[in-house]
Amino acid sequence: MEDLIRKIEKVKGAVRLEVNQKEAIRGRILRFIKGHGDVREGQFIRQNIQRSPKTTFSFLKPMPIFAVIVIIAMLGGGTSFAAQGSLPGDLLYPVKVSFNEKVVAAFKVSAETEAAYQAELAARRLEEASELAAKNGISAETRADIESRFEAHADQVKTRIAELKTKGDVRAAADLASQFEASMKAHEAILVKLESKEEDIRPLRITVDGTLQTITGTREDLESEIATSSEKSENRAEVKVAAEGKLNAATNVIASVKHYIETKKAALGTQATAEAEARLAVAENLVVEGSAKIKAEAYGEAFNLGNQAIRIAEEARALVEAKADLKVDVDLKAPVEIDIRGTENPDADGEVRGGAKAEENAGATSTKGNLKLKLNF
Amino acid sequence: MQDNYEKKFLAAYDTFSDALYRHCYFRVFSKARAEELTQDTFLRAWEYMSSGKEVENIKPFLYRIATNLIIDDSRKRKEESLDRLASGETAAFDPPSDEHLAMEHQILFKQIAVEMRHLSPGAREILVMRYVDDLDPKEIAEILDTTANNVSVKINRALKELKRFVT
Repeated sequence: MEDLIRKIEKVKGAVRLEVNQKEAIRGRILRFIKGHGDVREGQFIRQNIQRSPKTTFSFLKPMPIFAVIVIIAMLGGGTSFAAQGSLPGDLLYPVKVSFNEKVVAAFKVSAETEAAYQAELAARRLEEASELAAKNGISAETRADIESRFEAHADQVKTRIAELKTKGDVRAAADLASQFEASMKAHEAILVKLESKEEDIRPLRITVDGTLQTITGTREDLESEIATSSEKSENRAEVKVAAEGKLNAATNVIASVKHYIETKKAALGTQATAEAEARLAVAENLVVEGSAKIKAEAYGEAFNLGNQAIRIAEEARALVEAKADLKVDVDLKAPVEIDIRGTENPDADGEVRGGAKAEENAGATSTKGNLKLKLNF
Repeated sequence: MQDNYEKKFLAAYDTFSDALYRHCYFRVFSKARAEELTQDTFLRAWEYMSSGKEVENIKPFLYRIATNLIIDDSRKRKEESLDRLASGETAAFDPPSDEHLAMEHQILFKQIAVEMRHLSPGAREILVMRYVDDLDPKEIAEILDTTANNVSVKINRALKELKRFVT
């Protein structure tokens, strides 16, 4: 009999919430708390996520996914609560209760939401480090601390993306990989710049570079899977819808970044503005290519092109932010690459991961002419 | 003032989330479910408290919510994961953390899960509170809304139940 008790004694110490899981749950609880009393949910939660006017970096989608989920949840119909857990006394009014059900359901751990949230946290750690390095300087200790937190979040992102892939949700996995890649690319470029004046940031930059390489590879793998699997007839209709939606989204992102550049023109100066706008031109081109692919019924390729357009537009946004907020002139030429697979060797097979990326020149004009994207191998 | 309230609540989360997770894990033996239950516990606790109702002692309050959620959860799922465990399907084992668990510990967790399955839910509940959560009879009494004496009786009954199934 004591045997069971003894066994429990032996292992119970090992049972606790993992640090990032504990933080993730805490974050959801906080959002629940914040969103609870206020009618303007989306706005409230959005304000919560943008921590201060100075550090409004958002390399990810403009509208935080969680805010969207909560809004949708709020608008949903009620479910019967009567069958569910009883608290002492009759505490929860029916209205409140059905609201609670929906909101709690919205917070259920789903790989997609979790990945997006962890990606946001990873980006935030890098923003903190960048801001410190740019303004006050960063101690080795602080950097190491930020770095380990960043790694924990980045690992979670990769795990969840892999989960989605295993579940068969390849497009969602590709979306997340694409967004995270754009985010890492932008941050890496910023850290490279900061490294020249603040050497202590270097180990972090190297870590981010590693993460970037990994996620780029993952994204490429997922995209090639999308391109090939969309050939199967049973998927086609679905992929077509997804591709059209993706190209629409890309158009919206481009418009949003255009507008953003307008608002920051004063802080940017002519050159930075020109560079950012050139990138948007590349992104627009990709959308046009994508539409052509849809007409040609190559829906998987169209989908991938849409994601690429979004990445490039978000890069433009990130560079503008870096210049405007951190006063950092990120070098467009060096580590920030646009991969235009196939321009060099359209018929080569295989080796396109991590290596064969074409470097972009300052003006996008050089790429406009020979934009030949081959996503099938 | 609302702000203070929130701070206190989050402090309670920081203090008790690990313990509650541990409690939930030893009831459901699934990391994902235990995480969700932990989260739900706090969300519902906030629901209750933010409606203006004062809670004198938050610790037993949280445990009580968790306990109720576990009851509902198991009603819904009919303990399928434990069934699979008992039948020897090792794939069903969901370790409490992603950190590497020593082989010896993995085996112990599985054994604990299987043995617990033989007990009635009431017995499981009380044994987890006593031997996993290390709550004393007085605390357990507050959670279960009964007397400390009654709790001691329950514990003894549970231990007797355990004896019956040990081979």
